[in-house]
This record gives sequence, structure tokens and C-alpha cells, in this order.
Amino acid sequence: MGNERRQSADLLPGSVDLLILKALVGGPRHGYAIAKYIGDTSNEALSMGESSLYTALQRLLLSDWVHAEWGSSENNRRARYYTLTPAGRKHLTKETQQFDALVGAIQRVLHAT
Amino acid sequence: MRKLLHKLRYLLGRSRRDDELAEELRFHRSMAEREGLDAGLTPEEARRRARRQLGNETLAREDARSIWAFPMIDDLIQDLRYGVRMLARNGRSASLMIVALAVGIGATTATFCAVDRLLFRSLPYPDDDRLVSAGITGPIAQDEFMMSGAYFQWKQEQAPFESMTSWSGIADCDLTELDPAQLGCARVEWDFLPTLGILPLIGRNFSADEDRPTAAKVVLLSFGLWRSRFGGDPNIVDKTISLDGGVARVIGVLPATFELPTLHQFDLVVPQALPETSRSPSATRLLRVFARLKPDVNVEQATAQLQTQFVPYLETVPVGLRKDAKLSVRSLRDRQVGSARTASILLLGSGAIVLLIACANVANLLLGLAARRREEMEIRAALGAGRWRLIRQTCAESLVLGLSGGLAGCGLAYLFLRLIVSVAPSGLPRLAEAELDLRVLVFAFAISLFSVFLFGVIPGLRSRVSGSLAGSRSVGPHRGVFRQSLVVGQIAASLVLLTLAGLLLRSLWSLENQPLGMDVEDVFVSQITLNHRDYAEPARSQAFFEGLEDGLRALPGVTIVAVSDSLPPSGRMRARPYARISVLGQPAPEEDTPGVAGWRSVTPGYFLALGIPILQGRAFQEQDRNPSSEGTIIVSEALAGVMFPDGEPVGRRVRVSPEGPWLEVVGIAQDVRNAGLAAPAEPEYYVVRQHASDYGLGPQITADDKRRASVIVRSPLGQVATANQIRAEVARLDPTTPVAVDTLKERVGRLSARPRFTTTVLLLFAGVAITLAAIGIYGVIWFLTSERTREIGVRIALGANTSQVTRSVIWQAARWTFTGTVVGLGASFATREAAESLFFGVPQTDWLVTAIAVLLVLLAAFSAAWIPARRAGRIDAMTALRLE
Repeated sequence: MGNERRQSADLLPGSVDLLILKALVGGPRHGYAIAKYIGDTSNEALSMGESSLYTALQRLLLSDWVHAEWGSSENNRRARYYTLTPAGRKHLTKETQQFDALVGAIQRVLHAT
Repeated sequence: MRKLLHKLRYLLGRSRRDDELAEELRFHRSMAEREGLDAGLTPEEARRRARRQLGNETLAREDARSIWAFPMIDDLIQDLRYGVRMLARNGRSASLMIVALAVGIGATTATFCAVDRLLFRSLPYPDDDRLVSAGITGPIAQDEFMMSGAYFQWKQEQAPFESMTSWSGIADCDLTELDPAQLGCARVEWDFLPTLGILPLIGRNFSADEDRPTAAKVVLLSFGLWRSRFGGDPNIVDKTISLDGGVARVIGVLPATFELPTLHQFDLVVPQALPETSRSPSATRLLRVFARLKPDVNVEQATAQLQTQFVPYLETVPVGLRKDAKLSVRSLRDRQVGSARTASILLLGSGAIVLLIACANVANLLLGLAARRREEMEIRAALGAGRWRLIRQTCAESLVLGLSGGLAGCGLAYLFLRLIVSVAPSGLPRLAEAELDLRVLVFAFAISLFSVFLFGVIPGLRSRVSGSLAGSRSVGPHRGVFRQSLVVGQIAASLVLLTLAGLLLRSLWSLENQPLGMDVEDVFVSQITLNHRDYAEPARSQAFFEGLEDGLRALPGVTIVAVSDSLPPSGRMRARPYARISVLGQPAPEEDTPGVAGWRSVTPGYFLALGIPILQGRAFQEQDRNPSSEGTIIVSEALAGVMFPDGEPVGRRVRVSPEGPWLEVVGIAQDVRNAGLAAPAEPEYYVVRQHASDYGLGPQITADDKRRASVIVRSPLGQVATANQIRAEVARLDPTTPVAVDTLKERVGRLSARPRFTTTVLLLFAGVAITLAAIGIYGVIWFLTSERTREIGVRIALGANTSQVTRSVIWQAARWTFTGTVVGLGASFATREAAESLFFGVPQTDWLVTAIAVLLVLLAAFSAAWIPARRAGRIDAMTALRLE
């Protein structure tokens, strides 16, 4: 944790959106929690700047894959919570499959003898 | 699609979302700081770490926001805002540009709209370019006419026309009902409306049978009369009205847009119902003829084809008139525009010149601004603006400028047009109805936007804004050759307009100061036409006019009273061919003697009333009016010169028709301008109005003419009083006869109304032009000296004093002015030729007008150059150099 070189999560296009959607599968989260989740779950290998995070969130809102609501956080501060919509869930499943297929194919080529 | 809706929703709740986003980011950051604190960092370090981790907040916000926004619109709005700010910063230049644009657009649009209906808009007939006026013209008859006998023959045999029709002009006709009115009846052939292609709004056109003198009378109402007098009654057809003492049936109503080809005012249209005798080949009833060309025939071909009828016709014309008779076929528009064409084109041209001068001003100011803002542009480029961004911004600035100028121009166009219409004389056809045309407005708007863009953006495209600020100061600006040539052009164009206006002014002065041969002060005239019904008997008209004469003479204040059958100087008097006039003791004139003499039938007071001196002999006296006394005649100077070349005219005997009596010449009268102000006095003679129902004229006077006469009253009491007196007298004799009283001065004044109008408008434009040119000079010098501030500073530091600097700037302005004047003089000589027909009484090369015009231009140029020149001279060397 912390010492490995952190990669920016938006190196692969479209990946940020998927990561965020995945982060919301377990329930509504606010922006910071999403970033924390991605960082923790990837063992700090992936990092996400404010810019890419919130830009992606706006994109997802625009496409109706997430839904946003103001609520109060753990320490009673106002925060905006994002929830996954059914359409977003479907999109996540589909895109994950495609992503896996793509990565798998690339890996096969790279590791071919 | 959904996305679009989202975005639109965003647009509406924009600021709220921005605030929300900011709050979100703040929350995010504080959580990151909290984490840092939990990990043991100091608050300071925690904050720093959070910031480093999370990146640039502003960028984050912008990026997030950009998802929602329409980027192009945002940029455009920003550019426009910058554009407005730029204009506010360069307030003086901006307002000058807007003024120039407004004036240019206003002038062009107004003049175009004013002349559009005259020159360009189509006439209210289908396929109006196929309609022509055809017939014979002669030196006194400028509009084509035909004799009825020849007309009916030609109508049968002609080739080039699809249809041919005629009319006999407007006649007075009276509605003799409870509320009597004197109206104008257009007397037309039955196929008049079909040839023009017009269908009545209600009802039907005349049939051939109704165009006979024996047929029951039918009428078509004009739209205006139908509305005003008959209340727009939808059941008007087949109702009868009482016309000229008889009954007439209404068979229809004409459309509101209908107008006669000759643009005369009329109330009713009736069949001309020519007697059968008019169809015989030698009949001499006068008709005006209109026709519609066949689809594949043009005016020249029609004229050629009609020669087959014209040549045999010429044989029947009296020899004396044969030389002057010409066949003429003219498009209807040409006939309507007539002599107004040159004036209209002149107006149009001057409007366009004003527009060009205005655009040159705008161009110069924009180019000057562009040069001045080079540094600003360099800074922007250095800050990261791409080339296209800069160009887009100048585009936006130009847009703001062009739009403001355009809007102001629309307002000015409206004002200018109102002004033109209010000054317009009644003679110029259709001018009073001129209104702002959307097409023209759009066109002028487009021109202004185009010129603004051209000169606002092109310099931006051309320049290499390198983004390096080094050396931008020391680069000497290009000498501004293009700008200088624009100024030279402006000066030349203003000179042309000034010269033309001056020539017109001089012509007007000459025209209005022509010796008329009569004294028009304190003279009041009234043309009276008595109605058909009460005055069918000639003796009754005579009784009326003689009663009126006596009654007026008895009024207090009235000095002289006279009655005449026509009034000078408008020249609608009768004409007698020289061939029929013979002098006792001289051989009878040849049959082919050309030319005609005018004549009037007057009472003895005529010469005194109009102030026409009798040069030899005496004026008419009351005894001469006795039918039994010797016939008398008074001859004008010019006619005496023709008839009595050896002198001694008084006492000689003259006969004005071979069958008439011999008349004694009792006096010679001074020449009077009878044919308008510009034409020379025509020879004429006067016979006295005898106390007889035909006034001693026998067959020379028609029944209609007996009911018409003009009353002339000389009185020092002033217009209101005298007019009332005249009206009261007429009412005493016949309350139903309408009376309109004019002063002779007004009548004469109306003759110069058209030249006065053209002159006024052109003077206005010339004034505007020279002002704009002066502004242009001012602007260019201002900018050029601004650009050369450093150079001037150096010069002053090296010892040049104020006046030397000022003088060098003035000298530069002088060079432009000189060049511009030379070019302008050349151009004005060229254009003068084209407009020659509008000038009267000005010498071939008018040095006076030219000199004054040049003087005005010099004056304007130097006053414009003076202020910036002085400013240049006062440049503080230290400040100038320190601006480095």
C-alpha cells in the first residue's frame, strides 16, 4: 500500500465509469466513498483524481445509469449519494463481459509462445 | 435525445448545480483531510496531501461542468460579452462606427424604398411587362395618342398585340342625388379591363353592347367610392345611381389595388360610348391607346410591325404636322416613370455613395483598431488562446458591432423615409406610398455586416500573432496605404455629391427666378366646373360666369377680376396651327406650315389682373365684348414677330380660321411663360370673351368647355379673406358648385416642386457624405498618429517643436485631400453628363459651383485633421518613449 506506483484509473477509456458503477453495486455511496472503495479494493494500485471522478459521475448521471440524492454522511455532513439504477446495473454487466473479453484476448496474444 | 433534455434542464438550473458541485468537492476534500488527520498528519500536511492527491479543483469543476454544458454556446456567449466590453472600451471609435453604419444603411434603404415602387416594383396588372402605350407623338403631345378613326382601323388590322384598347380620359361627372358630389369618371372602351388583365372584385366588366351611346348607362365603382359612399354594400350590383341627371346601373366594384395606367385619380369607370361617327376613318376624336403585346413580341418589334398601319395613316395628317408626327410604342412602366427616371436614379446613386462612404469609415476605424490592438492580441496568444479562438473572438466583436449598427440603421431608415415622403411633391408618382421594404432592410443589414466582418476579421487572419511579445513595439506599422486610399476615395465621392447638389441648387434658383412675364403677387385663382344637370343650357353657364364676374368686382378690396378659359403657366391652353392663321394683305400660309400658336379666351381685366404689360396698342375693353362689335385680337410679342416680320402689327387684320371672321389686332402683349418654367415662351394670342353663350368662339368651343372657366382675382386682402369672398360669391350663385382657391404664386411654385424635392434630398445626402468623410479623416489621422506615437516622441526629443509636428500631420492630410479632390473633380465631370437633363440654366462647366464644392471639402478636411494633428504635436516625448 502506498509504495507501488499508482496508476491513474482512467488510463483505459471507459474504465472509470465501470469502476464507479461497480462501486455502487453494494449500495449508495458518496463521491469520496467511491474513490476510497476503488483505491482499497485495488490495493491502492488505482487512483482517481477529483476531476476524472466527478466528470465520470456527471456522465453517468447524464446517461441515467446512476441516480443522485443529497443525504447526510457518517459524521452528519451534507453529502451527495449516488445509487445504481436498473439500467446502470444492466450496463455494468454487459460492459464487464465485453471488458473481460477484450482483456482476455489481449492477454492471450501477449502471453502466446 | 434524453441527454439533450438533461442538458437543457441543466441550463435552467445552472447555478444551483454549480453550487452543488462545489459543495460536493468541498465534502470530498474534507474527507480526504480527515483521513490524513486520522493517519497522524498535522492539519497542514493533511490538507496538502489531500490537495496533491485529488488534483486541481478548478480544473475538476470545469471538466465536470463541461459534461453538462453546450460548449459552443458558452464560448459564443463569452465572446459576445467580450465583444461588448471591447466596444465599451473603445467607445469613441465604436460609436463613430455605429453612427456611420446607421447613416449608410439608413440612406440607402430609404432612397431605395422611395424609388422602388417607381422604378422596380411591378405594376398591379398580371404580366405587366407586356403592357404598352401606343400611338402618335408630336412636339406638344409627349404622351401617345390616336385619332379614333385610325384607332379602330388599326385595331382590326394590327399584328403585334394580343389585345388593344383605348380610353378617353377622366371626365367630370356628377352624382346628382340627395348628397351631390362632383366625381371623376374614367371613360374607357369595353375591353379596357380585360386587356389590363383586371377582374372586378364584385360583379362583371362591361360588354361590347354597353359601350354604345344608345345603351343604358352602366358604371363600375372604384373601391374607395364603394366604401366611402356606399358603405361597402355587398349587394351593390344592379343598384342604380343618379349620374349626370340620368340613371346608371352599378354592375360591379373594382379591386382595391386597381389603378389606371396613367395613375389618374378616379371614382367611377364608365364606357366611353363613342358615337358611331367616331369609327369612320377620318374621325378625329382623341383617344389614348393601351395594348398587351403578344408573348413573343417586344417593343421594338411591335413598333416595326405597326409601321404598316402608320405609313398610310401619315398620308391623312395635315402636311404641316406630318414632319413632327412619330409612331411610338412604350412600355407602360416607361410611360409612368417618364421624366422622373433620371431624378430617381440620381437619388438611388447618391444613397449608394453615402453607403460606400460609411463602409469606408467603418473599414478605416476597424483597421485602425486592429493595429492598435496588436499588443492585446499578442498577450492573449501568449496566454494560450489558439489562433482560431482569437479569430472567433474578432468575429464575435464584429457581430456585435454589425448588429448594433444594423439596428440603428433600421431606425434611421424609417426616419429618412418619412422625411423623404413628407418633402415629396405630388408629381412624383407613387412616392407618397413608399414604405420600408424588408428585403432592402435585410440587404443593407447584410452589407453592413459584410463590411464589418471583412475589415474586422481579415486583419486578424493575415497577421501572424506569434505569441511572443518580443519586439511588438518596435515593429513599424505599415504606412496604412489601404486606409489612406479609402480616405481619398471618401473625399472624392463627397466632392461628387457636393457638386451635383450645388448644380441642382443653382438650377432650382434659375428655375424659380425665371421671368414669368406676369406678376404673381396678390393674385388668386379658381378653376370652376359647373355640373351637367343644371347647366346643360350654355346660356346658363354664361349667366353664371358673368354673374360671378360682376359679383366679385363689387366686393370690397378686390382690385381686378378676370375670367379666362385657361390659366398660365401650366400650359393647358388650346392650340391653333399656323397653317390656319392668315393675315390680311399677306398671302395665305402654306398648308404645310409647321407649328402651332396657343390661344386663350379672356375678359378685358385679364392683362391687368395678371400684370401682363401691353407693349403696343391697348388691352381689350368692355365694348369689345359686344357680339355685334368688330372682332378683336391681342397677339403676344413672339407671335407678332412671326406674323408681322415687317413690324406695325397694331391695326392689321387677322383670321384664325379660314371660315372665321377677320379680327383687328388691337394690342401686343408681353410674352408669358406658358409651358412651364423651363420651356421658352410660346407664341400665343388672346380673343375676348364676348357676351354670348358661345363667348364668340363658335365651333371652337365644345359643350363641356362652356361649363369650365377660371376666375382670376387680384386683391390685397390676403389669401384667407379673398378665398372666403370668392367662395361666398360662388355659393350665392350656386351652392352646389365646389370651389377651390389657389394663389397664383402657389401654382407657379408647384411647377418647381419636383426639382426642389430632388435638390433638397441631394443636399441632405451631400451634407451627410462630407460629414462622414470628415469623420473618416479624423479617425484615420487619430489612429495613424497613435501608432506613430513612439516615432513622434523620438522626433520631439530630438528637437522638433509642436507646430512642426502638427504641420507635418496636416501636410499629410493635405496630400490626401488634394488627391481626393482631383479624383473627385474628374468623377463629377463624368457624372454631370449623365444627370444633364436635370439641370437648367447652369453653364457647361460651372466654375462657381465647383469652386464652392472644393472649398467645402477643404474646409471639412482641415477641420477634421486639426484636432488629432494638435494632439500629435502635444505628445510628451518622455511618456511616449517610456511606453516602451
